[in-house]
Amino acid sequence: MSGVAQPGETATLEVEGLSVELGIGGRWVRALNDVNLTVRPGEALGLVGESGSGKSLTALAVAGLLPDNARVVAGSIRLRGEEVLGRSEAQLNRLRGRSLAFIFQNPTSYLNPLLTIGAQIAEVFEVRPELLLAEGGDRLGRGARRELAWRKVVEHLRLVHIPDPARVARQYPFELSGGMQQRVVIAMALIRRPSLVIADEITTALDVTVQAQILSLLAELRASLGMTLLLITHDMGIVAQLADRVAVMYSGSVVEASDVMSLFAEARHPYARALLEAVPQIDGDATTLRAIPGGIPAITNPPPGCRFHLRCARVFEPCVLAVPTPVTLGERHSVACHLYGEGRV
Amino acid sequence: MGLTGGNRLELLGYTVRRLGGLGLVLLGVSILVFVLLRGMPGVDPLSAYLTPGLPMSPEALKGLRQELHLDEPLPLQYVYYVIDLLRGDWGFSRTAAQPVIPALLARLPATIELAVSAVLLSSAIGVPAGIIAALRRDRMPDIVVRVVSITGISFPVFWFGILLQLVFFYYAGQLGLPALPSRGRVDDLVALQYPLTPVTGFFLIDSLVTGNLPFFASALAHLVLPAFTLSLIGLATVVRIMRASMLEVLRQDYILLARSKGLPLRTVLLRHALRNAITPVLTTAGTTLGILLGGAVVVETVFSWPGIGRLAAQGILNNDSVLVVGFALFVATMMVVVNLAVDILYAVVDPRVRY
Repeated sequence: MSGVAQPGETATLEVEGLSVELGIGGRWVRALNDVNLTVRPGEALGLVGESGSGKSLTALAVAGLLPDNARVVAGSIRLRGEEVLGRSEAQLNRLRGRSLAFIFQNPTSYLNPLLTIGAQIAEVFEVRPELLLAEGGDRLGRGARRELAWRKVVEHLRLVHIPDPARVARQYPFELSGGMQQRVVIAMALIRRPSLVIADEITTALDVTVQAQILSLLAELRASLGMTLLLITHDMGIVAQLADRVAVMYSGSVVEASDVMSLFAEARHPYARALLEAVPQIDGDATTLRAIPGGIPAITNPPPGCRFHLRCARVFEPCVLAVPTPVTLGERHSVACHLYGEGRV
Repeated sequence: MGLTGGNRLELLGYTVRRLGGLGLVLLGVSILVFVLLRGMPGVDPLSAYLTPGLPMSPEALKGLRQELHLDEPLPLQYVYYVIDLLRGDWGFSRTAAQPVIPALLARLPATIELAVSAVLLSSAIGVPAGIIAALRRDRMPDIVVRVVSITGISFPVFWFGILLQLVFFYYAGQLGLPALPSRGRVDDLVALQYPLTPVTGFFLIDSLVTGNLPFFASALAHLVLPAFTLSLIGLATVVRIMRASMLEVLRQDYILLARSKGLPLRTVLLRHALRNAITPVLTTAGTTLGILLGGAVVVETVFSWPGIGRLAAQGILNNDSVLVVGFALFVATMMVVVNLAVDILYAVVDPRVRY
């Protein structure tokens, strides 16, 4: 649905027709339906939607880290042109180590409580020893390699603006605040120089002021390191601040994908519009907060036709009858909605 | 990453705080034991000093009562009692024909050797079995482990001991197969032929450090059946707790992050999962060790193992109240000391505990 990579340029991430089922209560239920995404090198794609829309499941599928009760039924996932699906666990480990880095929602629960910050960051060198070779590490003995690893850890903690990085590297996660822990997780991702950073709701668990700090840090690092980013969020404000392109997910499908400017200027899908209107706005002296009526349908019992039609203000006959297919509206802008079907654009 | 200087200091402070608690517990135990000794209806403290059928003159009895402070008020008697305890005078055991403390200390190495072997054995079997069960949850290996451990916990341990003696000593001997010894710590003939130079009192350690290999082999063979029998007390619990704890830890977010780094499964399991999952197992193993160090009364008796549990059993049968009460106090002390050791081990494993 989103644009295909241009000739001669391999997309960092290409998800094509991905469908995933979850085993719930003894039967298989469709959780992702024909998801298409493209992230080009250096680009930041915002993946937006309510909780339960399948954003995180998509991210886990990209890393081959789907939970035991999930299975991919169709589609293809390529990281820098390499297929992820169907790989052995060892091949996946190599692929994850080389190409991917995750930053998750709640840093406190994602750091191992029993290992020091430094130890948790430095263990990435076990997976990618070549990161220590760049500065002549191949000629170094064990002790010197450890020293270089340690130096790199401290250097990256400084890069994410952690004060007194050498001391923090020797501390345990419980000795740090949530914001500092999230900086640690970011440093852990950066030190590997991954092709793609997947940031999953990274500010949701943090205080508002800390959220702003983490977001500006991410923007700064993206500018200085040319980081390619898959940014998963439910917050359109974060998308506006950090992303170049955006894909809106609803109930397991991408309903609209475009660059951020076009989406904010003229979102086409009624759900994408409603999502933008749900961002609190200050009009004159009154604050209006518009909510989308209803809730996301349970995946165990989805409505027929377009999954959004029960909550849609512009619902008409076809919505109940058929699932809309994506329509291309312009360069890298597509929408899956019957309003824009054949001959209606 | 090892412990840094600051971490060691925190650990020391933690240990000192825990030691203070230990003193309080022992004070409580001593009061309890004193009340049992003096407060039991119909039991005259003097009876321990009287030989049935050999009457004492009233003057001698009066003198004895005075000497034992039995005419003083109870709280004062308790103070005298505690002073005696602290001086190491725990009374004279008729059963062992020696004072209580030397009697217990002489038999302690045998008990420690057996208890530690049993706990090591149940951990060595139980921890991997629990991990495998967790990793293959609801599949064949898990089902086998669960069925075996529930069966194991359902049988009385002494029954299992007798069964092992029957199979590995009696039947194996009858069939001319190499049989395992069923009683004692070492073969008498071996002990005569290759006398052991005592160093620590632990047969395995002493024979190894003095290079007495025949003695070592015999002592090891004698240890197998009782240690295995005794290990069953903790085994089922270790397996079940290890499995549950591992399942819990594998669900944690930091395991997902570790996997997303591309770390091989082995590293994720050993470095990230096992260390977090092992703490509840430490508690179980520690408690079991405490219980076993207090003398595995039944198993030591079944295998004629010359430890403190067997001595206590003889003391009970002989109505040797001085010994039995001394044994109770000793067991409580052991339990408290082992618990302290487990708490310190916690703090070594988990830095959050040190504060």
